[in-house]
Amino acid sequence: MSEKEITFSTTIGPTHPAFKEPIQLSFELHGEEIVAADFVPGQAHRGVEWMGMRRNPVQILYLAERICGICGVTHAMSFARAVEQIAGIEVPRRAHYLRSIACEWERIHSHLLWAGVAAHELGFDSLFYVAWQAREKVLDLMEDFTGSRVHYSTIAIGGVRRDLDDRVRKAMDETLAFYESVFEQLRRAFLEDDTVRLRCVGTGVLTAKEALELCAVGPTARASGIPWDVRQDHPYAAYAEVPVKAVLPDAYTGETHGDVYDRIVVRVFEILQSVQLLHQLLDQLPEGPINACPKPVALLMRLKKATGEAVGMHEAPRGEVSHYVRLAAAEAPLSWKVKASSYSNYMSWVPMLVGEQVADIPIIAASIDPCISCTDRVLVRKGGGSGGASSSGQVLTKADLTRLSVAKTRRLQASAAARAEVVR
Amino acid sequence: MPRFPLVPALVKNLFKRPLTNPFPAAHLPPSVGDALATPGAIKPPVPMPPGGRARVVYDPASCVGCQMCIKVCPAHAIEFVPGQKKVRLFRGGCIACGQCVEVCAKKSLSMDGQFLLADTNRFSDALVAK
Amino acid sequence: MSTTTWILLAIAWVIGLSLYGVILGLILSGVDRVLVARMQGRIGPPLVQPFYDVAKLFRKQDCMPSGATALVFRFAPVVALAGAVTALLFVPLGGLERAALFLGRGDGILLLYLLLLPGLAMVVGGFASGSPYASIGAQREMLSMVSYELPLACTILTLAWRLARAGVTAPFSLWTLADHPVWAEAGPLGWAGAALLLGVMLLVLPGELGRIPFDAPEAETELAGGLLIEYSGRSLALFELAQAVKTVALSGLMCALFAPWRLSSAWSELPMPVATVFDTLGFIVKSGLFMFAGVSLVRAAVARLRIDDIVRVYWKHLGLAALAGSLLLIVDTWI
Repeated sequence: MSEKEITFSTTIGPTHPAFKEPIQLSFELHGEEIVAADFVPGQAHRGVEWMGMRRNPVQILYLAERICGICGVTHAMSFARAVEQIAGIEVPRRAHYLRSIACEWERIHSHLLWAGVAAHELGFDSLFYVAWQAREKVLDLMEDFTGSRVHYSTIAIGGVRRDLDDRVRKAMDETLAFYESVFEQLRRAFLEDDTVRLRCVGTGVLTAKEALELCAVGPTARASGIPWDVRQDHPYAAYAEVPVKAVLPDAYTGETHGDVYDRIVVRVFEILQSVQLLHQLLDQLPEGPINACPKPVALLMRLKKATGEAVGMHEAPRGEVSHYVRLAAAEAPLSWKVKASSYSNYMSWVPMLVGEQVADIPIIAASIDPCISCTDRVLVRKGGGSGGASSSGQVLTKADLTRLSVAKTRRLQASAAARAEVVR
Repeated sequence: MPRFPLVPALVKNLFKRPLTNPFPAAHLPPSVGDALATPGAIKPPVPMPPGGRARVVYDPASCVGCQMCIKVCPAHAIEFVPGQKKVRLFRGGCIACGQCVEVCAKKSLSMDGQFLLADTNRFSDALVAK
Repeated sequence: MSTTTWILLAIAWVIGLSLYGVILGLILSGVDRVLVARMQGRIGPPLVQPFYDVAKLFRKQDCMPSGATALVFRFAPVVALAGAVTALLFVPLGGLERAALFLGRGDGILLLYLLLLPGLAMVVGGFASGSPYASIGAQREMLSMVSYELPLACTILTLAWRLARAGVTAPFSLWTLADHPVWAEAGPLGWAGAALLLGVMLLVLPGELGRIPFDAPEAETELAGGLLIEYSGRSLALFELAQAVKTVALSGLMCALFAPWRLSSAWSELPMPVATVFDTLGFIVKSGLFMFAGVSLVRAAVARLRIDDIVRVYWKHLGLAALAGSLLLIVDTWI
């Protein structure tokens, strides 16, 4: 054997069963071992911010909600917080509580969804079904509470759209009791199963130093022992009255490794934390109005006059989300910038993946709970000038794209015809 | 000894009823619209809870053409018909956020809980409310 | 019987047996899918879904990547199916061996090699397809074949050794093994040893069949199908059929080693056709039970293992367990 390692490079994605959304990972492999790793995002860009700049804030709220297919509260919440700061709208206390309630239910739903996906990546489909069967309950409850299973549309600028009535309140108590009863089964299935431990303990390690340097957020950072949580550090909504303490793995396992297993620990115990928070929130729920600006016409007029800029932050199930909004006394905002939590967490893939095996790629990639459509905002080509592809230099317009698509189709047709010729 | 905490639940599941719902129909009907109109052709789906957001229904008779619904529609799914001072709602683009229903002063817009809207033509009568 | 008649009979027998193997194998696969679905709380596919799948694959276009070695790529599925069918010829299949032309021919060692053939064909086909995923899958398949061979060979050797010590002629023949169930003659220690070997063999089954937790060569979420990634249409269908036939051959091996009893022996003086039907039904039930314990239950209950863990489990844990089982059986013959 020579000293020099012979490596070969391969890619995974943009379409691959390990990813639920398009992203490309490229690897230098030495046998089964990963020597170097990199990633190419940008395949799920939809131009949501561009669309937002052509709408008024009331419309953007529901557009923002659809940045992500899973977090129905996250982006609406961040955007609403930013706009409320600019326009000086004071959210009523009951609305704060109802927002927090929606956030915590969403956290339970998102973590269960993640747990199922992680189990599937490990080839453990039974565990996937256990997690998703438990998740069904929170979806049904949210449909009852907000009117839809995923895109809740419950946050409004100035408060929330729907109040909590006695029937839904009763359903919430029942669902909380359900989660308390199944939590032990979930915990044992995810944390005590020996095949899961075999695959996850010591896999994809992210040290606390790396997590700090790469600005990891949310459960990814907390699993490496960084006690960061927006709900704890900058309390918003009802979190000032119902305090939150960041969930760290060493509180449950005695030590912090920053591996995939610790990320499972953090998420599983955050489900329990959310259940406890929901009990408190529901018990302390104050009476009062649920929206500071219940009249949409008045709200639209007020926002049309508002000027200023603000950042709205929110602790999404995946970590910190921030929306930067700038209003300039116009119908549409002057600027709207979304930074999703996965944007901060992507970079931690590299230290996690290097030195691991090919078999660990899916679970490590899934362990940061990547939301690719949340993250892909815009793709800028360095150096401009796209080789004559575009008429205006750097920006490809719809006409350019149509022209390029037609040219490519012609090219493919020609080569297909040539191949058919050869076969004949 | 290795631990597999899920095994007892798995074996128990063998003797329980499955949790999934059967597919709404045995085979894909030639026309979803006809099948929906025929009672019994499709097994009833899980019912929607009260207040569930779904299809928007439009009553042009009471509409005064104030265009507030257009102003709040995030999906640009509603268009104004200038000659008649009425609106037209394209359900293919509707995201069922329910804002137009809330903003409508004349209660011309409402939601009826129907969510089986599949069609091959996005401009068919079933998908355009006018 | 003249040679010509024998050859014609043999051909008819091989074709009939292949059909039997394919049909029974696909049914067993359907049962496995339904049972796993039920364990996971799902309704699951219809029992005959594997038949639909194979029929659909046969009607689909058979694509070959441009970088593939054409001859090898096309030939590998045929070799896999041929290997599996040949293995089936030398395995006692419940009542059917009364008519078996190959009765008494071949032995356990030959069967070990024949059972390797489908896997080897998949490796060759994987390398020939020229895809990096298939190459990784093929390397993993070779490693896992080397791994599960140890506990498998250890089990067959031990059981045959017992017979040789008892002075039975042709102890390696599976037909002889089937005539002398290990449970009948062993003492309590021997029972414990045989039970240990049974457990080991049940865990060899998912390895042989490439099922979770030992499906690293195909690993859907990592390699997107691994060594089968480039196969489609008819070629993929042939691999599926080979897998089905191999399932039946492995069930036959399990029955011969651990549960050779015949249902018809409960009644004396049954006419031969009736006894054959009874024994075949008994064999199908026994196969189903073995497949449930070794494949369905295991694949529902665990996560996929990495390839180095597969080697460790088979060589260290199951290898040691098999050796312990052998030792118990050896000690049992001394006392």
